[in-house]
Amino acid sequence: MTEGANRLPVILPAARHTSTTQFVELHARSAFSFLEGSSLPEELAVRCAELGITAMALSDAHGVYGAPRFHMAARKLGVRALLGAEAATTDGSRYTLLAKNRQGYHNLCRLITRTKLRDRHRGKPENPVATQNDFAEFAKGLICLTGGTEGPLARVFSEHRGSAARQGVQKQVELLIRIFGKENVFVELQRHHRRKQEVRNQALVELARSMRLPLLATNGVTHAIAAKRKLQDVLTCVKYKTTISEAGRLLSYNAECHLKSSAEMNRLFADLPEAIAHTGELASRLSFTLEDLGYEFPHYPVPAGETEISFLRKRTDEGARRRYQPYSDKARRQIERELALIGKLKLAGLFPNRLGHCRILQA
Amino acid sequence: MYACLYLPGTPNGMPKQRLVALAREFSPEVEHTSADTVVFSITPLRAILGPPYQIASEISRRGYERDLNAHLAIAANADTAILLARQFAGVRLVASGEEASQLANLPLESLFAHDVPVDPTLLDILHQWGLKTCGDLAALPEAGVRERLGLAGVYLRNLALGHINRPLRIESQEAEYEEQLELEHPLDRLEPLFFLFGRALGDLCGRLRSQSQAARILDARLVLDGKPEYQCRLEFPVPLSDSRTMLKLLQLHLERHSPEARVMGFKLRIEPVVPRRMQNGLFLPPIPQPDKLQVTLARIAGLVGEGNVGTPQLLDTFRPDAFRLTTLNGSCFEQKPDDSRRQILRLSMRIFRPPVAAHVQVMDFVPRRIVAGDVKGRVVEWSGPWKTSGEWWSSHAWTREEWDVELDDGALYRIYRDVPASLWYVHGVYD
Repeated sequence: MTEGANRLPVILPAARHTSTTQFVELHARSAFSFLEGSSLPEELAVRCAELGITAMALSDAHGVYGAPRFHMAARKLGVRALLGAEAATTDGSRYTLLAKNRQGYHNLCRLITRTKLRDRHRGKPENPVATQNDFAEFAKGLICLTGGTEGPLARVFSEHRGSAARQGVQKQVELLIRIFGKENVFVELQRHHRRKQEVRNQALVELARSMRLPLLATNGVTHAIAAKRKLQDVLTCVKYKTTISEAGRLLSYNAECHLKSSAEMNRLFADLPEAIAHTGELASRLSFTLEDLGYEFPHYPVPAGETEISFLRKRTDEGARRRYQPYSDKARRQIERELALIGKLKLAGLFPNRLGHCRILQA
Repeated sequence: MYACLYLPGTPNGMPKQRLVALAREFSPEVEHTSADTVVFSITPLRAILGPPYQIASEISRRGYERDLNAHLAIAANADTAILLARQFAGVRLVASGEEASQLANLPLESLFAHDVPVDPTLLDILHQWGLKTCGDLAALPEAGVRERLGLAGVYLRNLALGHINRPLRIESQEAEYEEQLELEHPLDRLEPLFFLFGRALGDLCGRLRSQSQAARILDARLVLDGKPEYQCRLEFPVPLSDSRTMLKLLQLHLERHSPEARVMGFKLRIEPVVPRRMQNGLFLPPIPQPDKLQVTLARIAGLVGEGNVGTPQLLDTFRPDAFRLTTLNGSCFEQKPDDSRRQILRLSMRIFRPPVAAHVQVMDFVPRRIVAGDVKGRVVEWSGPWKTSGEWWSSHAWTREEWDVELDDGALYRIYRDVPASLWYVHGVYD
């Protein structure tokens, strides 16, 4: 029997590298990518800290549900928690989107919300799909990675060969550039020690160089440590409603989709050091974390010449004079402390609103 | 014309058997409508017994002889006969065209007690309309009923009119494909046994062909003198109905696995299937006759071992070189769709089965020198490691690291390391 190989695969230079560039993992799924990730956000954060990874982007499938837990855990460990998500497209692939700034985060949330609301009407809330128009509408502030096995380029490679595949991939990349802008599109490379993946990588490197796009190394993380691969396989069986002995090639190819250290990733991409270097550069461009969520309570319309806090101060003084008879120094000090805190937390608009509600109810 | 026999108050199976036995005296084709009701055609009896009333008289007489106090109704269609037999004791004869008038006084409930399932809520609707009898329902215009109750309503109306004409629902009898023989004198040679097998298989195959079926499995059990029963099970890749081919296959099997003692008797059983009909294409290569192919395969299996013949089928796993041999059948000769569009330049590899154990010198995690029988040399170029692992839940778990290496003699090999055992093997050579 003979077995085919497209070509002799390229060499992964196992021990040829010398320097270590700081690597940032920018494509990772947690257990909040329901059944597509087997580690909790906290486990990913802890593993990052153990490996000395200074920042990581959580990009769960179809949502940002895991982001708050990841953010809280990462903050305690001194890891910078970046935020993104995988958004499914109408052709069955997924774009990996990262929030560059607060607007990017808003757009990402709006994009996901729209797809989920639309698909709820169709009775399929579990498979939200965004159209190219949706992506174009919410592209501002977002970085797009070309993705791993589920990405649009891998899909083209799986459906076409040779020149047809090259043309198809180029069209896809041009589409991404049209939507997100050239400076916001990165050609993603993953190396899980698979021959087919490496053949695809070679074509992508060629394409990126011809189109002058930056390469970006990720590990397409689905679990924090290699041992979690078993749990991932079991979750895959649950997803496809099959048994583990019958799941066949639905299961993982190997146990390589775990978080890897900078040294390991440098070794894997020793022939493409720029792909590692770009992870750090891109991470520095991603200025948004949940610290900068920037939520503001509704403002209260105050008379001209007044600020919300001065308005609140006057109303409080009026109320206090009615309530405290006599109006003691102790009460004044307490009220002053409370108003200072409200002013610091920018909640001054909230209380007059509540006051208005109470008056309506009393009337 | 159809006759219906109804035996009221028959909860268990015995009276049904008596009813069926009575019906079979008059017709070979009997519909077992329910536990208490059977229907059969009496049209052919008219030439023998005369007009329907004489047939009814004869059925009543035979029923009386069998002590069966059954209701009998004869009508032009089976459903009218059933409705009347269930409603009226004694004998009821309905001339063709009088069905509606005979059914007119039946309560509407009798239609819903019929064997065809109808939504019971329709009865409430009909009662709300003020309808009480079949005649009331039959009097309604069909278009109006269809408009308000749909097809179910139309069906009920036609039933009330006695207009439903349907064939009887006859259950086909399961044919037995089993032959057994107890020998007066034990046989210690196979030739006379084959002679007896030939006769038994001839009968079985005749029965198969009469039912348009073919054999998928032949199960042969031999009663041995003082030894446990000898059993062999031949599963045919292509269903067979030719006794000579089956005999030949059984003969080849018994020659390979002879019984340990004299044969005192045997039992042959066939599991039937509907044979596959296949038309050959004009421009396709001729396919070997299935029976000849199976005999040839059985001969090859005798030479190379039974598990070593078949069609290789890739398994749904990432385990390298995982395949199994499946039964060879005609489908392997079918022309595959043209896949030339997807063909690209590929390297071919000859896989060593079993893989060749190797001594590999590793430096900086990379193989540098290989010695494996005739395969030996210094590694000048390499790619890898390509890692696979799986089936971690079973005893067949594997973890491999593969390398493609070029030796100093210019040959390209695929080698791999069995990680748990830490052993190296040469898996194959690129052409």
